[in-house]
Amino acid sequence: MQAGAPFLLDGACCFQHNNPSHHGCIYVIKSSSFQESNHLSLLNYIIRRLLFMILVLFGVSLLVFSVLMLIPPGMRVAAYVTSEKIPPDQIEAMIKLYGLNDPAPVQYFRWLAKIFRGDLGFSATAEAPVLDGFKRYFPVTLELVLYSTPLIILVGIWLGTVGAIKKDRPADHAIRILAIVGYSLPTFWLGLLLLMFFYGFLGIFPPGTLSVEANEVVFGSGWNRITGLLTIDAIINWRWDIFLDALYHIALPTINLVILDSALIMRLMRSSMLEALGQDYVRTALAKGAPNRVVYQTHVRRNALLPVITISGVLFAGLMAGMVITETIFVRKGIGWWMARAALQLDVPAIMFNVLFLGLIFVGVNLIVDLIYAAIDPRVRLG
Amino acid sequence: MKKILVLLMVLAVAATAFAGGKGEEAPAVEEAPKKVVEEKVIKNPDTFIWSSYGTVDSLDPAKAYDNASGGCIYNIYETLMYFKGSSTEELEAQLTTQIPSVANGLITNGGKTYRFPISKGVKFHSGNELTPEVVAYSFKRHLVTDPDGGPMWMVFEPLFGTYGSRDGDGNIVLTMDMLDKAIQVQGDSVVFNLAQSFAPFLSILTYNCVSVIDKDFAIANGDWNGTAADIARVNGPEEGKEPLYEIASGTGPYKLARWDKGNEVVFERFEDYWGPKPAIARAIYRIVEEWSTRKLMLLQGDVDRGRVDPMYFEEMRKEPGLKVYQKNARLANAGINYNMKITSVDNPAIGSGKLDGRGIPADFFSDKDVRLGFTYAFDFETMLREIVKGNGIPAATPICSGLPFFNPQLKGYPFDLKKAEEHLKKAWGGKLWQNGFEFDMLFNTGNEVREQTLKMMAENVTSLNPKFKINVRGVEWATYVDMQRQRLMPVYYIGWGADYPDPHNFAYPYQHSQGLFASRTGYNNPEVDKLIEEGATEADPAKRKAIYYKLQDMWLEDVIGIMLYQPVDDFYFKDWVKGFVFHPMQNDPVMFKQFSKGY
Repeated sequence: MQAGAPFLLDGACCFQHNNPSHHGCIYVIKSSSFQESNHLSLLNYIIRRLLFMILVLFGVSLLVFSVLMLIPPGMRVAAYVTSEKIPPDQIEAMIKLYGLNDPAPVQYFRWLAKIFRGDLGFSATAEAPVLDGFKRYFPVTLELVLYSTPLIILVGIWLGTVGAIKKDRPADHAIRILAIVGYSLPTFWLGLLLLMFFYGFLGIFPPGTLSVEANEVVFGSGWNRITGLLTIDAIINWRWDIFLDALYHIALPTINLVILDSALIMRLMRSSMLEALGQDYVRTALAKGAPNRVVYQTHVRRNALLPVITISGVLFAGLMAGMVITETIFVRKGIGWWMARAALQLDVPAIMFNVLFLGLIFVGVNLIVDLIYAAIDPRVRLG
Repeated sequence: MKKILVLLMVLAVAATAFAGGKGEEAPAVEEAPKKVVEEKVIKNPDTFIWSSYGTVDSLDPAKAYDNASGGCIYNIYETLMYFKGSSTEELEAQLTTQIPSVANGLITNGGKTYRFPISKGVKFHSGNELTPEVVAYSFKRHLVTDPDGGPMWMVFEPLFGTYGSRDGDGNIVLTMDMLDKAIQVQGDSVVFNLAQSFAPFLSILTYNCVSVIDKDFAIANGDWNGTAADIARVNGPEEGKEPLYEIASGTGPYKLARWDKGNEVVFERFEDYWGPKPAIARAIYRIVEEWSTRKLMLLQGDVDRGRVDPMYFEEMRKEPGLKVYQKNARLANAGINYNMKITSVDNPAIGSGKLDGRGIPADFFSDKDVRLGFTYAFDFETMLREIVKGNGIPAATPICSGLPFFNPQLKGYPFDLKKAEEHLKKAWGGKLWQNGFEFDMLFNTGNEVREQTLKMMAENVTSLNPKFKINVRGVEWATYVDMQRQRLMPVYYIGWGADYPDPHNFAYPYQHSQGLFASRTGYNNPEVDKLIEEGATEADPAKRKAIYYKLQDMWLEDVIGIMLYQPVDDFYFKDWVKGFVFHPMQNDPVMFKQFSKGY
């Protein structure tokens, strides 16, 4: 226990006690000057990571561009060839028009120069400038991610916890089966099954983002598009009918993602909880009469969460990169759908942008995960 | 007990997992007959939703050369005339008051001058008026814009005897002088002066690439200002930079409300339309790529028409609540062409490049016996029955049924493995049979019809001699395009849909040495070239008939390739849809003005 004035008590004890050192609790007692230097070090750490991110993005873009240049110009022009009726001389003219025959470094620096000017190029698959395509597709994906991710994590943590606590009992068996099934099911199969049952059979939860009438409102003159997220914008525009309509359409793809992706969190949480439950301090705390709920929820789960946080970060980043199959089946064209099309049709401007975007997402998520680690586990020092 | 419970749960899940099966219908449960009259609810009664999977490339008439774009353009813009009903020969006036003919004196100068009196009182969506000057500007503007990969070549051909506004080095060769001579305003008419008499000219003027646009609207939005000095600025624009790429003001029955790219195009009824107002106030072309989703949306009535591919015709014909228009023959065809001049440099498709049993030489198919051998080994009946599932009309030559001067008496080569063997034994002086060969046949991934057709052909040919090896493999679209451009493929599976309903539109690409397919395969018969050029410029129908009959005979004599079939299509609508009239050249989507909804 460090001495110093003034003291700030931080962290938690198993139960109220005058001598916390008897129970090996995790806590930190910090002086105010110590806290200030910690904040500075954290800020430095974040700035360093952000600067590093720029280097990473540059490196990734160079690597991907180099690989793309291995593909002959005659194939890279395919993004602009919409029909087999186009004769070879016109295809040659297109290759010349888009500079696809220029040396690779020339093409790369031309692309880089445009980036610095804010021109990300034209995406043949988005049928629009790349930035416009991003503004169109990203909110669709983001909205689905914002609704599904918290549910995935909460459901996974909750069921994983229950499974661990009720180990080898019927609840645990059911949860394990659910996890295995959820993890094994192909996305397209579950998605189509849900669509066939709910939409095809029951006539509820249609695909798409909005109904025809709601679409007319959203694209009408009285609508303020602030975020591009339909439910959020509906609240901002104070249109609860549109909000409910959007929710109605997002329900099924959300259910699809929750069933599939909470499985991994469930399994991880369960095994992590079981490991934590086997620790001496837990046995001691329970033997000393601490309530189960307090032990499990306040201490065990907190320690068991660390690997789950890492996976959740990866999961979130993966969802943000897009859910091609979910987006295609439920007719919600987002980043995933766009990226898949861009890759298949060799839409180079879109591919390059998406590489940068994905790099940003993964680096950003890693940073956030590290910060959360530090917040949860005071033993972790950043920088 | 616990184990039994677990086992039961696993079995239950497994049962659900396999319940999907192959889409077979569960045995019908007989219900007691219902006498209650069900109230039929029509979803979205003021909106017609057409669903398919083709993406819209551009709304600029000078650029659009795909089905989806063309279909949208036909709803917004109009041409001087269009086909009447489902006819591919009878025209009716739209923005002109009379269809030119020799009889009414509007075609003169030996078929080189066409006069179109322009309708009065027609408004654009912007409120501007249609005038002859606007019509003349439209045509000139499309010719000046002439984007790469667009359809303007078909207008250049009759007007100037060329195929574009730029030469091989990309320099603009089109001048204001040329435009002013070819397209003139004379009083209340627009006059076209052709480079030479061109029989299909009127048909060409129905294509979306000559849609009449709103001049003032176009110029106000950065389009060509009509002067010589401005030609270079707008000529050959990059993808997405065509002036009318995503904005529109036409005279059509629908105006463009919005284009939500990749998702849908929304049209609103034009209340000041000069003709009969459409019954439906709003129309939507919605892109739904996943077949199962599209099917469910059609069955649920959330779309009024869903595109159904041929492999699903059988299952959809059994579904309730639909109106089905079956077996409509399109003005299109599919075939296999033999490449007689394969590019041999860096070409993995031809193996060793020699007739040594491990490859083929670049001129492998230049031997007529090889071509005959492959042709006799093709089983048309099995292909039509098993692969196309009866959704095709056998085609002997590129000129298909429904076109003028189609020869219905002609039959293709029969399936005869003995004759195939005979010709392959003669081929290359016997060396082919002795040494064998190996090469690749390629199809674009995802195209099941092409894949199965080529596999069937390969199987029949290789069954004749164990030394014959043919590898059928799929390649991605980008690779496919590149290999076509470089003439790397030993055989091409090709398809052509009519740009205009005239045999010239089919004979030229398939048989003229400069045509799209013939040039790819190295086919060059000066007699055929001459006949094709004569056929286009000949005004006398009897003489044209003789020419195109001869061309059809020569296709079979020269065995350039195998024409496979002319596709027939089903169209599936919700049962509340009325008014559909099939046209063999229709796009996807079609013109929405024909539809209404009700029981």
